[in-house]
Amino acid sequence: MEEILKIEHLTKSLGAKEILHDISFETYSGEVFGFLGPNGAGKTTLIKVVVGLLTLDHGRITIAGNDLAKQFEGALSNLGAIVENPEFYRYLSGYDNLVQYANMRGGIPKERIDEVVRMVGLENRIKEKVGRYSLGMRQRLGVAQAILHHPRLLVLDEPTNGLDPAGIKDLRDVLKDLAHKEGVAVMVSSHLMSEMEMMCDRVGVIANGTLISVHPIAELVSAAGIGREEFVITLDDAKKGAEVLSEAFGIEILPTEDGAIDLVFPKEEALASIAKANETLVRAGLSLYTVSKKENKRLEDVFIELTGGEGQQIG
Amino acid sequence: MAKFCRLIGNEWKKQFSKVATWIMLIFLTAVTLFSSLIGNANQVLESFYTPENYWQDDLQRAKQNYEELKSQYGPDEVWVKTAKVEVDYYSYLIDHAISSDDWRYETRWSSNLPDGERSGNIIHEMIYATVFEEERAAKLSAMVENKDLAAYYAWTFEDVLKDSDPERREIYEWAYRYLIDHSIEPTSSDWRYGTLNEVVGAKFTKLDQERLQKEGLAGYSEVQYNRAKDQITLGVYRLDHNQERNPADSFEPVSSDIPEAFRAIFTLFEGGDGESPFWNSMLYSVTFLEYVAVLCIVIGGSIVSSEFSAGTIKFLLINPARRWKILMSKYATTLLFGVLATTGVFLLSFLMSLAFNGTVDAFRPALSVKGGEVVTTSPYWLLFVRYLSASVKVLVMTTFAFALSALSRSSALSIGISLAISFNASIVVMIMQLAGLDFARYFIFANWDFAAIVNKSTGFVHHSLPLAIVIVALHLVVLIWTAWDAFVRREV
Ligand SMILES: Nc1ncnc2c1ncn2[C@@H]1O[C@H](COP(=O)(O)OP(=O)(O)OP(=O)(O)O)[C@@H](O)[C@H]1O
Ligand SMILES: [Mg+2]
Repeated sequence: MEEILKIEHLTKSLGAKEILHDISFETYSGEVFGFLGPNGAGKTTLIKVVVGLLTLDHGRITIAGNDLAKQFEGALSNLGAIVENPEFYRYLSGYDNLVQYANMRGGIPKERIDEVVRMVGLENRIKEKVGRYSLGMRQRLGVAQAILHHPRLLVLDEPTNGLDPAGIKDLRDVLKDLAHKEGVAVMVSSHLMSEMEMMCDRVGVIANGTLISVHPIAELVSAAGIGREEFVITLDDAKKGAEVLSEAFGIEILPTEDGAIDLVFPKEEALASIAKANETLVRAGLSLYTVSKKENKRLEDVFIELTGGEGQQIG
Repeated sequence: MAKFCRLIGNEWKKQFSKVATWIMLIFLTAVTLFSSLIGNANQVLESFYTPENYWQDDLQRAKQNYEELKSQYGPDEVWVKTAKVEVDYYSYLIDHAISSDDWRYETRWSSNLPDGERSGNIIHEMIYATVFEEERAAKLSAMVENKDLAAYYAWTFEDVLKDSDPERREIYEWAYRYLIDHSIEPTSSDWRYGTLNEVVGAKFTKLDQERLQKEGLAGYSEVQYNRAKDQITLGVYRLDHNQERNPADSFEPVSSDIPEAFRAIFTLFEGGDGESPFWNSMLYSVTFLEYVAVLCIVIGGSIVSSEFSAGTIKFLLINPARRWKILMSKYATTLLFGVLATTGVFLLSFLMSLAFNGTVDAFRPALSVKGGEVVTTSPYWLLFVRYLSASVKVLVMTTFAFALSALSRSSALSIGISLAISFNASIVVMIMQLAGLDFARYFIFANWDFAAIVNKSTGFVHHSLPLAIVIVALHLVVLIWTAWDAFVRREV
């Protein structure tokens, strides 16, 4: 896997306020990198720095081997992006807007324009003026614009914003295809965890301008407890119950402080296992009061946990 | 370079996809056509004039006057007879279909030729004589009825050809010969008569000056002497080469009192005899560049800021083109609009002038005298220099609007302020000049009319072209640097 985007010790202030603090990470070809953070975390700011709209204060950004500061045109010719809302020349047709980009980037045949229009499903409306497009249609045109010149790095700021469910699914498929089949490095920002889960291979979590951690998506999914089931058992003697169960399942199980027992099983074996636990406890002569299934910790909770807890003020 | 051209192509396409651009181009065309029409107003008005009805009003008035006097004093009183002369006079003009540009009607106006001393025209004199001096009447009516030019000139030159001063006599003889040899009618509709008058006048001035110098008297002026000499050279050249009008006249400054800016308008209506209406109207078209300035200011004042207000700037800047290239492609597009609009204005005015004035003057060279020799220039070159000079203001104001638009990111602000300055700056400078504030000549607004500075008609005595060029260049550099700084360095 080739390193496409490399960010080293990026710091950025806007006005007197430092928005981004010493951020470093890389994205690779063939991977969809998710960029996750609450409102005001600095996602858009980071993306603006990467696409050259903002200059960085300290640090270095390299796109496909080109230093953004020194080889601007080289770096940018490997980049396709949508920053915030996709804005186009409203008095031009969608097609003419794409022609504008084709002219700026150079060497893009007409067939490629038709191809990306087909990819984003806008064939029927592409000759219309953009002023008459809906938000979702503009978002699709934005994607078409971003991938027009076969960029090696694709940066999309909240691309699903305004898309209908079918549109979201289409976009997801397009991005996954680009990454996994054509080897594009895709970087998407979002504050929706579930969206990340469905399209990203790795996720970077940003809060208050600091990159907190980078995880493979599987890690986050397991942290969220997806694929496991948890049960709570109340009974007359929790201490003894825990001992019997430890023996029966061959793992150490401790009673909770409030006199109950928590059990976690892989999803596939959950029913069989809880039946076994019940039987074991009854055999040991203990009186069971209740056996209840605990709700899964949701992805959002993990997200809030990762980004610094509940009820936080926008920083 | 190819990329830069593609960027300009993009800007071009965007401008022409906007309704506003089209409205402005239509406005520019309409206003140019209309102004051209006004510029040829003399021609337009003259086309409504018919000589047949021309004398009728005068005749009726004369008749009425005569009837009133007759009924009051009887027909034999002198002033009643004089009134009768008027009636007969207008009847004669009508009966013989003599229009107001017939030489027999026109032979009076003050001139250097001897008939200038006579009060009425020859027909009037004839009629008058019929009533009061029978003997003269016969002689005059023979001239009038036979259109006998030779007899007419013999009669008018009778006295002066006997002039005792040989040098003066020589001048009269020359004029007399020239008129007879070339069958020149003494009328303003024959340009040669007017030109000959000018030459004769200049010859007398030259003679006077020579005498003053010889006798060492006060009043000798070398400037006047040289001007008279050049006038003679030029006049004789024009007569000999049958060049009716001299396009160069249209480009001469009228007088130092009239600011150059109003010069063109002035000549349209007050244009001297012998000036070319074609070239007067072409010179007037230079003022249409004010409309081109409006077009350029509107485009230049919005070409950058509209990207910000529409939010498209982000998508423009994430392309592999450095920001200064994008900025310069926008500036170049604005200037390109100016160049094309100016060309359009020229072509429209040219066609209008041709339509109203015919093609004759369009192919005449401009004549001037240098070192005693007549030199010919193309009047198109003179006009081009004027267009170039007037474009300086358009360039400065467009660049100002452009820089302001890059700086403020507000189209309304940039266009509004630039237009206000463009309309009023020259007037403010003029007022300051009239108020005797000499430092006003360092303002950019006092320095963008190069033609006026060369012609010394700005009102400021110390104006010089090199300084003006430096001031304009400095402003352009500062404005472009401002735009560059605002667009390339500032964050989006
Ligand atoms: N031009 C600016 N000047 C000063 N501060 C700014 C500017 N633009 C953004 N900020 C601040 O930078 C921080 C990060 O903003 P940013 O737009 O990057 O957040 P985000 O992660 O994209 O949020 P969202 O999810 O709402 O889009 C915010 O606190 C914001 O107030
Ligand atoms: Mg954002």
